[in-house]
Amino acid sequence: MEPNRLSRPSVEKRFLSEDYWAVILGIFIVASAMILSAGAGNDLVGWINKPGEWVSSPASSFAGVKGSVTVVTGTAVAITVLGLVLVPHLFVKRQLFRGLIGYSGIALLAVVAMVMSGQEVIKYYNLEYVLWALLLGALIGNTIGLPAWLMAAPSGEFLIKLGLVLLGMEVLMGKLVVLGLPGILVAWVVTPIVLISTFWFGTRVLGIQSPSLVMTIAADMSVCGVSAAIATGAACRAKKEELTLAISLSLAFTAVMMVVMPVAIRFLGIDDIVGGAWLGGTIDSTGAVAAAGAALGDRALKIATTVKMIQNILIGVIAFAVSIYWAYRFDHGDEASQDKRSFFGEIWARFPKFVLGFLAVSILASVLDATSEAGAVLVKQAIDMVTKELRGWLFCMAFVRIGLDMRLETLAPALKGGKPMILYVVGQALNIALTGAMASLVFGWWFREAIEQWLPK
Amino acid sequence: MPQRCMIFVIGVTAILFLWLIVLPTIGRSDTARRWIAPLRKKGIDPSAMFYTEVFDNSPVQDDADMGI
Repeated sequence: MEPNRLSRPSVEKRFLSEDYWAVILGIFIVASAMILSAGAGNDLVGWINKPGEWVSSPASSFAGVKGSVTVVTGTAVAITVLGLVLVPHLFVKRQLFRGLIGYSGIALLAVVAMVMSGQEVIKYYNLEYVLWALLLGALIGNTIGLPAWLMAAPSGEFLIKLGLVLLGMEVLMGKLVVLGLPGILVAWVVTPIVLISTFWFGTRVLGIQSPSLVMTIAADMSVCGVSAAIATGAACRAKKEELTLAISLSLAFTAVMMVVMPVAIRFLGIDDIVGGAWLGGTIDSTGAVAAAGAALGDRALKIATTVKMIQNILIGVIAFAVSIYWAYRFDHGDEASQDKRSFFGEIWARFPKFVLGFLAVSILASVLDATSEAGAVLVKQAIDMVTKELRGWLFCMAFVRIGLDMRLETLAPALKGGKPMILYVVGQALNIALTGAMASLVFGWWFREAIEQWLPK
Repeated sequence: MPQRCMIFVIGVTAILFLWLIVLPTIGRSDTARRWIAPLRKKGIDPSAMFYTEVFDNSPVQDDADMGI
């Protein structure tokens, strides 16, 4: 089994694999967040935080206050909480002391990456923290090298899995129907068509050798950018270099599309309702969709962010479907044990278990959110005050670690012939065309009246 | 100094130069201000990874630093 892949089939004969640890620790964090939310209400605001925005002085990113808690305290609490959560896992691995020292180093680099991403030009042009985490890690790992004391830090794969279980809290199925059929048609019909078509194009037409690279690029381009790349990359066991490449392509094109698409929409005389739906279904990143939608007006902003939110929810289904497909089609797991297992036993053995944790958390949060107002408030508070901030820190630390482990020369085969870029461009062109057509049909004609009643001018 | 250390130092210097000099300069340009100011006013975070982060509730920053 290649050591460079984001996850391995759960056939290791350890006490507990990383997948199971990610599920257990993730559910522990979610449960704790809900209990704290129930007991403390809004009193936890700011206690788990990250460096903020700055213009010319990085020190300003630590100058603010949220609730009654300073950014410095909120950042320190976030890092400490995660360190404490990791203790059982490191203890069982017999790497408690060295693991915590390594974790501290990763956390420090993650703080630097968060500060870098807070510079206002970087922030407002959608150059997310994962890029800077990768850059810092790769700069160190490919020059002065990975110090020995950092090597015992939790792996990037494990941190991603734990972050994904927390992300499940934000995948609230009830939001699928917030826009009704129009949103579902744009987000859920076009997206799978583009995803599958792009995967076919990449593997059969372009002949890209690595199906996991193709799938990760297809997902980040057709679904919702970096978060989709992370979830799908982990589900199809993409290599670290492939995830890096997919994310870099997505962020580069998103920064351009975010600025150019609203201009193009105005130039073409497309109205804000159709324009908003078009933006929401095509621009990769959620934040960039909001920025582009805002450029067209409040109605476009509302529609664009709602369509993109529905696509965000798709992540759970896509990750699950890709996991099943990969376990069936591409993974070979432990060859020696295969003959002893039934077909379903084999799929189970190869299936990435952390996806089940992700789905379980999503289902729990969705049920609470949909069944009562108190439940919805509880879930929202737990997300806003605890899980989304911790999830951000986990992803940032994961990409620092991935950058540290990555060797730039291994990127070269993935870039061969410019095929990944061709794949992205062709797939995105299809996405733009299909989403534009569906947005015009559904938002511009079929449900026009209902949308205008929901959002009068 | 070994070559790899040299590259590391150059890399760090380039990051510091970009983040402390170049980006703040770009941020003061009219083009950037026209893009950034309305988004900041609406509380939109274009770097949000997920819908739960789009409307920025980040801590209040130092007004002088924000040019307000």
